[in-house]
Amino acid sequence: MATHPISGPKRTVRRKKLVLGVLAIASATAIGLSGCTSGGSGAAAPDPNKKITLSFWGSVPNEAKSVAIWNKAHPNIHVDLHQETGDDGSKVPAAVDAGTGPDIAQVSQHSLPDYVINKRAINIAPYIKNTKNLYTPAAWSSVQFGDAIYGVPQDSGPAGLLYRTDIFKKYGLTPPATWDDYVADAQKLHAANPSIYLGQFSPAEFGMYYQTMVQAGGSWYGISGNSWKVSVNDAGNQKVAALWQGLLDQKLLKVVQMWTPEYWKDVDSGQIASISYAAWFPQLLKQNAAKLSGKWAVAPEPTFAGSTAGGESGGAAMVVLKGTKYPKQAAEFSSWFDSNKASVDILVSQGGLFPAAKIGLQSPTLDQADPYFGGEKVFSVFKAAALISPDTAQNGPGFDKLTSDLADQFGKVASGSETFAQALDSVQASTVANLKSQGLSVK
Amino acid sequence: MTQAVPGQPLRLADRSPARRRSGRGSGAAPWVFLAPFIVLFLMFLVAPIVVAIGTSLFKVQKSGLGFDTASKTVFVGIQNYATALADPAFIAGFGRVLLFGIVQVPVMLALALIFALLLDSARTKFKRVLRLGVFLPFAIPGVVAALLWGFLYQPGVSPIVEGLKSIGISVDFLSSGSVLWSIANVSTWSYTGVNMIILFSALQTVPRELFEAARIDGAGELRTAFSIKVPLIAPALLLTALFSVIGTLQLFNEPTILKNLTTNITTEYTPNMAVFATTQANGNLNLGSAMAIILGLVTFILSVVVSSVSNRRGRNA
Amino acid sequence: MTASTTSVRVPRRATRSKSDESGGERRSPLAQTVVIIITVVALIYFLVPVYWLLVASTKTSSDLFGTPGFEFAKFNLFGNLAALTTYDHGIFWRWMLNSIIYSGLGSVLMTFVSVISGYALAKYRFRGRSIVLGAVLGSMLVPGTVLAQPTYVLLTHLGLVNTYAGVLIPTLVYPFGVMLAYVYAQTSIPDEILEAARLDGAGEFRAFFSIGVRLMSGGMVTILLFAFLGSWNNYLLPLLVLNDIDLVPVTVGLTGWFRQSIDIPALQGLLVVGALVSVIPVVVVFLSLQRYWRAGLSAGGVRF
Repeated sequence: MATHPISGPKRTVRRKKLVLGVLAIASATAIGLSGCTSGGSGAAAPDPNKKITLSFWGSVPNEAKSVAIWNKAHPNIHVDLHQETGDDGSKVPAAVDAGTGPDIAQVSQHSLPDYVINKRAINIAPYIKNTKNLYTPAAWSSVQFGDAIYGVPQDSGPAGLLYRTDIFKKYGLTPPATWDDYVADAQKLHAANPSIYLGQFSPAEFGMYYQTMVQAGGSWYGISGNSWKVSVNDAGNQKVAALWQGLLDQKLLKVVQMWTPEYWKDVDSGQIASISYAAWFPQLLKQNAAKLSGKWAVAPEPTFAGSTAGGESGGAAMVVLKGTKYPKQAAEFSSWFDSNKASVDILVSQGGLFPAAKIGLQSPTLDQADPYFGGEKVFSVFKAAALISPDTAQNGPGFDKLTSDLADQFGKVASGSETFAQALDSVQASTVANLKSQGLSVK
Repeated sequence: MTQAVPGQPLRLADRSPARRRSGRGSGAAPWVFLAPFIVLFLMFLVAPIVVAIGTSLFKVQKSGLGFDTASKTVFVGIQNYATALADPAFIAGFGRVLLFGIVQVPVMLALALIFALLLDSARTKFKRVLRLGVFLPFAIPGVVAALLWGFLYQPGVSPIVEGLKSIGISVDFLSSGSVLWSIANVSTWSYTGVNMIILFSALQTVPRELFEAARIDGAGELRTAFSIKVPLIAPALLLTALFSVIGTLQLFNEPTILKNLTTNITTEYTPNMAVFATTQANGNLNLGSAMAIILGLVTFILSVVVSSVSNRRGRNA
Repeated sequence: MTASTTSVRVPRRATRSKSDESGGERRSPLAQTVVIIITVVALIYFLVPVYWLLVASTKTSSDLFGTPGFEFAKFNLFGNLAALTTYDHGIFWRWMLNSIIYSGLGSVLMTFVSVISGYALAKYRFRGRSIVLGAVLGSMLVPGTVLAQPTYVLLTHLGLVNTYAGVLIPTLVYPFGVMLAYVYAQTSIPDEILEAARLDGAGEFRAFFSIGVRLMSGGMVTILLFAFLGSWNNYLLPLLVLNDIDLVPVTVGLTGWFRQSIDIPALQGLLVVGALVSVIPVVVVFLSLQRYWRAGLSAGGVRF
């Protein structure tokens, strides 16, 4: 279940899908034996002078450097980092259930409710008081459930529009300020040159849909009293469905599976004139389309009429896991790791994260002019977006199944056998059924 | 009467040559010989299956938001099985792999048989090259094989697609209609070699005199091959057919890798992928175990059907 | 068809290979041509992806998808191999070493367990024998997905998670190998020889090690080869059991790179050249063992 999505480049969902399936069962919970072991964390206060060791599974590049800073400053709380590669992330639930998990792991914010429901995450509210204001509102909202706090937000994915300056210039386009402008630009571009598309539709890349849905004020889940609400086809979702359906019907989007060599070939050859995605994407674009250096620029995400909200696809959080003997120290380390200036600077500059901590937004890395983007300070747009993303999107249980159902249904939309609205209705129904089958209350 | 003669299989039960000797001299020896295997077998095959069956009969029952309340594991009998069988996507997966198997298994085995006969024929040239060439794909891990073919299927990247396009033929290996057969191609490519080797080895044990006689009677090479050699290795063919059917039902790696290239492969495209999605993406081990056991049962039933059909045919022949 | 006895079997094979080489009559030019065409077409089909891999391994990352797939571009094979060797402190070679340990040691142990079990099943008649045989046959039908998770839990209890042993021990259950060994023992060990050995006073163990093993050597090579290939391709179990990247076999390592190659495009080139290198040991093993395959698999007698 640990698959999670969009968050940092390290943790996009598609990457996990590459995971040959076999792993399948791998990460699932311990068959039969999992049941309901009581989630008590033996939180007996340890002797403060005794040296303890916390194990931490993480996947951000170069985060060992941050860990080293902590270890130097805290000789009695040694953090032992296990740098994840490949499929490790999805091993966390199995390991926790089998009692061999670490004390702390990086987990997608979207997966948090499943972690909580399966009693894998510990409420750390008692240990990290008054830290809410250290983080952007959207990021904080993803870890707080009522009075409980189940993680420390680490990174986020505010949206921006990357576009090809050369193509825009050639066809007389300016970066669209609203989605209506976007549609008009797409029509104009496609009419002038049918082999060029303003954007893409990648059915399996739910993050692109998610960020726009959040921007439109939608949410897949909600909480009402002691019940979940499922709202995959709410007004915000319908708004995006209508927008995308119009673009798709007029053949204004390049339908292509993202992240494949075919995709990068389409990007390289200039068939895709703009890409609207999260703050961690520019780095990946640079690496995968190095030839196009100097031809890209960044603009704020187009907005919906009557709103200034930005888009946000979510990130990861540091989660203290069931079975830890030292929840207090683990929570303290997590909080330090994600909000200490030196640590966050490393995560941003060498780990490629877009920080959830406000202090991270001041990281010099985010102020650097980038020749790839024509000497622009590419992150200034994302920094602004991070502060205007709605904090109304609620995560809920069964997120991974929801996104895989959505990818299947969007595949049908791409092949023309279904509309976006039908796809959303179908996913709504399957998600409600999934939650009910687990005995959860759904309104 | 003691050993297995190709074409004249004996039943397992009465095959033992040691019958005569039973109870004399051997004593505990066979059990000592078997001990390592039996211990490992019980631990790593029987125990996991028992656990999986047990798991499939329970359900984790949550309530409310699921946050504060402890979840209970409750016995639900065959409810998970009913749920699995009522899932149209799961059932569709079986339909898909059956269709796949009906086409792919005969094609692959026919190819394997032709190559085996060529290798067995006295006058085929370049045997060594042929044997290594056909077998080589089996040496490439399935996952890597699927990756390789993925590069050859992708428009824009594939030299095959581009090459055909340049001569005016437009192909899409990943469309909703063609992708199943693109997967079948990867399986055929990977496993023809190993089947060829099994069939070839069986051919090697065929008593030479049998077709020497035919040849003297004037039967051509081709006729000898199909009227004498093939019936003689029918049991080996059955064995390869069985393994192929089992492999088909458990199809997983190839579609999972190719899924990264196209949404025409859905999450529950094959039964094994459905098991994966249920346990992995959705964390429902109980339902997933039930699905896996259904898959195991279907595999078992099909294996029995395949072998009894061929047995009957073999007897009538 | 006549049922033959073991004693005439061995000589028969000898006759056979002789007549193979003498290869008598002429064959029509048409048939000859057809055979050559089939051979060539087959080789093209089976080797084209390998050829692509070979070509791709010699390309620079920018040429990898930027130049036609079947044509060589700037030759950079050695550059790629150097990159493969230096990346992440040469982790790739560590994976290769792990694979060789898992497959080499694993296949020898698998073969031993299979041969001794197959021999016992074929050469002794004892209560429970048919149950064991049936279990071996039936277990070949069990989907691996059923076993994975419970196996993981079991290994956790045994403390074998993240160890070489955790990967090696479960793979030793190799029903296919037992089946082959069973068939092999039946066809290649005449009871008379065993009886004679017993009459000479040899114990059951000596009979097995001095006679059984020797007579089954051809079959053992076959089992060894299949076991080696099976272990080399093993993916699920090590993926589950190992956390430490230094312990994983090359299949798991390479698929990890495949996933990471989205973040780190340079890995795409390493993945391609790594895949090529990872095939080499298997080919070497196949080529060196195939000489011993005189008798081949007598799987022909198996019936359910």
